[in-house]
Amino acid sequence: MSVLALRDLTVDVPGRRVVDGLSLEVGAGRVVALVGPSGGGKSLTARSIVRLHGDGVRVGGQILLGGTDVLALGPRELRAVRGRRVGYAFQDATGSLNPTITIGRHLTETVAAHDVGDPRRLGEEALRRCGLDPGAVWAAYPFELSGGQVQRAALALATVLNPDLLVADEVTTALDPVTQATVLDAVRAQAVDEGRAVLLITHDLAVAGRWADEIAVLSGGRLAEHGPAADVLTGPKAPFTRDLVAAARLDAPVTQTPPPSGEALRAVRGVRRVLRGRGRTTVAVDGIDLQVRPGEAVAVVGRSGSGKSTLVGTLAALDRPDEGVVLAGGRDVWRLDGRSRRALRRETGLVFQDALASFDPRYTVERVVAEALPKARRREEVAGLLERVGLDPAMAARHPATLSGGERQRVALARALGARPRLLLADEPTTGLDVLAQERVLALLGDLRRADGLAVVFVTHDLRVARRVADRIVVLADGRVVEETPAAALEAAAHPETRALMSAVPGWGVPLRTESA
Amino acid sequence: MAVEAPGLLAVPVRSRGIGVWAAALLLVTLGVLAVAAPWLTSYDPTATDTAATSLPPGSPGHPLGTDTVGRDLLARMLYGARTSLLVGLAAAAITVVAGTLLGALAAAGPRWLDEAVARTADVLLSLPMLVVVLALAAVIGPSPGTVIVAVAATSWMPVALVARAELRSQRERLYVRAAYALGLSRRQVLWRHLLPGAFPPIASIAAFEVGHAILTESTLSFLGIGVPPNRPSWGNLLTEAQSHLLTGEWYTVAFPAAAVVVTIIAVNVLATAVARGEGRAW
Repeated sequence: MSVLALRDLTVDVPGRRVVDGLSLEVGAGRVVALVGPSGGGKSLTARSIVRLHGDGVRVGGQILLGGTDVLALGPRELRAVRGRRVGYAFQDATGSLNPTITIGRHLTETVAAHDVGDPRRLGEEALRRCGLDPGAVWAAYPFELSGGQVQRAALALATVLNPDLLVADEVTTALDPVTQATVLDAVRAQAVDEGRAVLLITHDLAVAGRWADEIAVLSGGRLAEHGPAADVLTGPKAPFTRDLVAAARLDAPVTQTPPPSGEALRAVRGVRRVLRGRGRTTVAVDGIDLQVRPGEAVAVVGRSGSGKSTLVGTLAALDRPDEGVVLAGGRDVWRLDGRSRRALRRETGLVFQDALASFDPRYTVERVVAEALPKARRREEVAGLLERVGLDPAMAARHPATLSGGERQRVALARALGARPRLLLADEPTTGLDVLAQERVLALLGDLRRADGLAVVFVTHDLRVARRVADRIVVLADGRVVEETPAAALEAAAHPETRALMSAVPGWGVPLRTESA
Repeated sequence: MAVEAPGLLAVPVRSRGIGVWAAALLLVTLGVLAVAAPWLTSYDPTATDTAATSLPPGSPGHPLGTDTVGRDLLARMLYGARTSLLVGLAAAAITVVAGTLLGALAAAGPRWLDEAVARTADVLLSLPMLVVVLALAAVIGPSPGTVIVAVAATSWMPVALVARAELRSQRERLYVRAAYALGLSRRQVLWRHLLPGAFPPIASIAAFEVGHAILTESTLSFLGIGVPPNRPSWGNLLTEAQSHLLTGEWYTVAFPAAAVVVTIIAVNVLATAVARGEGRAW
């Protein structure tokens, strides 16, 4: 009998049915990936399994855990199910842990709450299963660990009581590919070594292909396709799955541009920037030379913490480097007066990974975009800009929080294009978007480059995306440039860091590879 | 359903239910009554009438009755509202504006200024408020102006500290960085993004300050060092009424006390609505 069985599951949020009759089974020792676009109800489905779906959400149908219907349980029985029989790992691991108590105390509390044995012994076993050294992390606070460590600690916490089922809800969305691989290996080990049933929620088909046994594709609240991972990836049957698979491949470069010429639009020479935090200093960027010529697309690739975002802040003339110069059209931007520097910032478009956080929460889409425009020509240009990025101008009156991730990122692009920049700096604009939304954003960037001769600096941790959008790829590690290569010659890249990023990318090269269980 | 009404500084005030509308209506009514006092009653609030002393409410010509020297209570309530609301709102306005300004200076200015504002606020917060006000009032002498100054001087600290903390946390947000990236100057960023963002918590404190100011005016007048006794205010009415409590003339206490309580509750209901409406997408 399967560990988890969903029967005709429906999930309603006010005004909308998100999941409409989903039936799915997860057996012991199997990793089943639930794949679908953002906002498609994956997370709500996962949360409803432990009834953490929140107020205002109505769940119907049956959720059977080893034969008992979770939806019929009382509060006390439900608490016994949570943690004991179902472990839940959240996307934002740091946010899901209490920053004021240590990892060890998290584990101890969980074991003590269910009173099932020696907390220290069980906790250390769980940490070891997730590839962590208990001696090193037991006494650490969540914020003292790296992104990958904290996610594995959260996994240990979810599995400390040896639950029958582990729900991993987008656990690696915010992580770079090398870290992602370590975390998902730990997830897979739960199924292979411990015989647990694992429900892996992800928007990334390549991730599903590499780490799951079965793939269930959710589209429009229904199951579009369900089968062994290899079959779904190599022979997708449903049209929606075919689109997903095509978008996930990212093979063809968006544009083939002639080699750029002319004076550098923006350049940094020997920049070094030190971040001083409470009690520790980090050299985020340590002597980088980089130039961007008109019309050129440069991808800056590296793991989390390699200095990519700091480099963008420096290029944007927002952050002053401790050493080195930032040149715009041959002029040192930090020798300009404040007014000219602000004018220079206006001529540079900037988009961030978290588009929503980059908008004033009080603003409508219209006000967000209008802020980039001179007062005289606002109203009509907002509509024009929204159309250019492929959005309905009627969206202008809405709040960005009500838009999907891809739409938000396109609003951010519309704002960045408002001042007709010649240079666009994009800091991980597609990280966290599902493949279809990512595909649309990348295609849009390609169109803008072709139409306007826009130069683009594209920061990403995904080499597939880098190869897709850029003419030239710059690989960063520990604040230094370790490799610089034309995108076409990426396969020949030799530096160990580049190779590590490449091998960690799920499904590098075509066709997508799957691991047999 | 949520009703969206235009709010101060274009922050939408989302009101749920009739409570908010009732509170707003009540405050507007009180304001109109205070302004229109000379047209609503023909009595002079300070004129005594030995022929009509200690009349109960409902007496002919004196709907709220009269006090022991024959002054019409309705006239005294209406004129008292002028003083009390004026002093309360003016003191609260000065408190909020000065507090926000000091908080903004502390958040945006050099470190020594930040330290100076924060430490001064800490010291003032640790002193018993009434002692400071008493000392101030004793030095300047009783007048409505004294009350305003005294209230402002002793209650700007929470506003300044909240504004400072709020602006500091806003400053770290990504949308502020995005605004700088659009080429906005520091002043534009402060004005367009930081202050409106810090507004809701300040608004809820401001409401508290209005109530606090009205209450302090009453306290000071009650102690005889606030508004001069010859000028009616809700606090003065209470002072004069204290001797009536034991003689059965309950209404001389009840009406001004009720006016103070109702005003404070109404202001707080409004402020809670402002603070609650913020940060929601739908």
